[in-house]
Amino acid sequence: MTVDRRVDLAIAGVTIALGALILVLTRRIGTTLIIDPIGPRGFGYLISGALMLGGLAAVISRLRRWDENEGNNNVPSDGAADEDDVPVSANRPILVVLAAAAYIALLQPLGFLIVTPLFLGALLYMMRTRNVRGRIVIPIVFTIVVFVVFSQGLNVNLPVGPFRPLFIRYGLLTY
Amino acid sequence: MDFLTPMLGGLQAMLDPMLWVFVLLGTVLGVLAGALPGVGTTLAFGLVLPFTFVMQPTMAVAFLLGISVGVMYGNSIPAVLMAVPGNPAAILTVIDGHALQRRGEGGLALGVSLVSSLIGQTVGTVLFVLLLVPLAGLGYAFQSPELFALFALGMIALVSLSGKNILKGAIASVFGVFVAIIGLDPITNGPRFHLDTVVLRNGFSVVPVVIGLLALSELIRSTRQIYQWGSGDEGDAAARKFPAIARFKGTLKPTLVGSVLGTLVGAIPGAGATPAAMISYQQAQFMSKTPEQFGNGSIEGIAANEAAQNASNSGELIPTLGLGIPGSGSMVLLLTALTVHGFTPGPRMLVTSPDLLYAAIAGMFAAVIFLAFTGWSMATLMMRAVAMDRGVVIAVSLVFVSVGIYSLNGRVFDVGVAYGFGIVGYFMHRYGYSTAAAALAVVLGKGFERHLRQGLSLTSNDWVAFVTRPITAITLSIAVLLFVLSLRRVLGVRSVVKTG
Repeated sequence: MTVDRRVDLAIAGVTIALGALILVLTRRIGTTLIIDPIGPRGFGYLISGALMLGGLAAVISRLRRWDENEGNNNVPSDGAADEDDVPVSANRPILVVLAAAAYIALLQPLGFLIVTPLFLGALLYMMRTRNVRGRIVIPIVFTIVVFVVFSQGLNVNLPVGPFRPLFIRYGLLTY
Repeated sequence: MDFLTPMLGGLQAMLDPMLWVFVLLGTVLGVLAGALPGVGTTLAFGLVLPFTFVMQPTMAVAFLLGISVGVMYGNSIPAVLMAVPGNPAAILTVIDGHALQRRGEGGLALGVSLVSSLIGQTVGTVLFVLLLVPLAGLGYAFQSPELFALFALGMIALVSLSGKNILKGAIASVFGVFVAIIGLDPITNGPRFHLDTVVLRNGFSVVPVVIGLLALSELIRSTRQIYQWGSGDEGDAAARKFPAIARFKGTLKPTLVGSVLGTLVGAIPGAGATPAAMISYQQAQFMSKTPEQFGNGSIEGIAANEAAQNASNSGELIPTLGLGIPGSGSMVLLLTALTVHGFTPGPRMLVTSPDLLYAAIAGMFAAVIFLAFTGWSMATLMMRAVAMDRGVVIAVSLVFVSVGIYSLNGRVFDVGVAYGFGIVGYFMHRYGYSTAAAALAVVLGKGFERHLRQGLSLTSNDWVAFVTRPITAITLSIAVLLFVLSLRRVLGVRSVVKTG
């Protein structure tokens, strides 16, 4: 499996930046009269130093191998491999994360019963599930089953959004 | 505590019908997770972990161990019938098991796999109790310096979990420690690294972070490709007969050797099922009268590695329950479950909450008994499960994890945290920064710092007095030794891979 060497380099750069940020934040930690040889800043300094040095080493390691691929940005990965001979979509994970972000943002205001089937339906669509009817039936059935199990069986207060007055009126909600 | 007390306690716990319900559920889920390529114990634990918080702690432990026992058997089914390892530990089962399947002896491979898994798990559980009991006696001898030494021992697992690139593994570990120490200082109680926000004042909850790094990252990565695991008609196990007992000849010795080695290797933090299976396989080949058959359909090879995989389950529990040191991603999640229930795993827990130990023993034995009766027919069922639409499984899992994390504290913020770390974990996965090492560091980091600093206060800031306390000195020496051995092993494996 290959990855883009520019992203690999950027991640190493982010590591250095994170180390620098931790250094700044460590210096802002207040010290107190309680004295121990390490103190509240000790681990912060160690971590920031390790991340900056580690990131720098990763940058150098990547740059030293820069010319190996003759201008090709795709280089062998140190990470988990994709399946061979199966098309890869780099955009689908982004769409999944965007859908999750929308789900998180709307869960409280619109409630579990409205946003969960939409979120699951969107995921099934993105994953091109074979059964088109399943894309509608699965989200509805899943949402109802999970809602009943969680709210009645496990006593978890899932948000109900605009249905709240209705649930309270029929005694299904007491909070 | 003697050997018989926990064994009898475990047998008594098995009289509770609810325990059987949770173990049966866990075992079926585990076999399913093992049979689905790429799922495995860690992801299965990640999916169900939030739900264990509403269970009684003993039921949660038995349920999770039912899953781990099921996974180790389940991964052999697609390995034998489809040549697809459910997880890396099953690679050797592919080599020998599928060779038998191609010769029309898939039933023999599945039968040996089932029996040796069950024996491995049983022997491993007995050894687990034998090795764990002495630790209970140390319960009250552990103060901060000793606990720091234990955390240092746990940190050794980071070397083995560092992945292909040890530098990136180290960066991932340091990142995990940083995430762990965000929040209140363990000595001064002052906030650190909270970016002047209220939500970060107490730091991150461990569960969303760990589930994000271990489970969501993998699920997000899985969405990159659309394919199906199989059509389900690769092999009908029911069409095969369970092999006659005479055909198991020669498998008892490698099974027992695999069981013992699997438990011992599994007990080393960071080792886990894969090296346990590899070492047992090599040892079985060394002792075999027909070593040439290894790699070409050897039932001795299948027996040794399947027994070792299951026994390593029990082995991994020794540092997790006995010392509070998880050695793998799945054990990180088990430890997290216990912590959320208010337990502090370690020698003291064995004395103060022996019920958890009894539940662990009962869970593993009950899963073995359940698999003994149903394991054969489950092979057929699981081949049908492999035909499930992979897209549906991934999509439903993503929503299931989201709901589970929300249910922890009823906070949408936790779901956001989990996805945040899921995205970070996605890039870590892709670019070779070990998420398992980061997750382990998240779990161990806070205790590592707290016990170091509290321990130094206890010894009047005297480093020599700190490290020369007897248990601390012994534990730190073992940690250093294991660190050197792990480093040598990891670097050795890498040089072998590099030279092809």
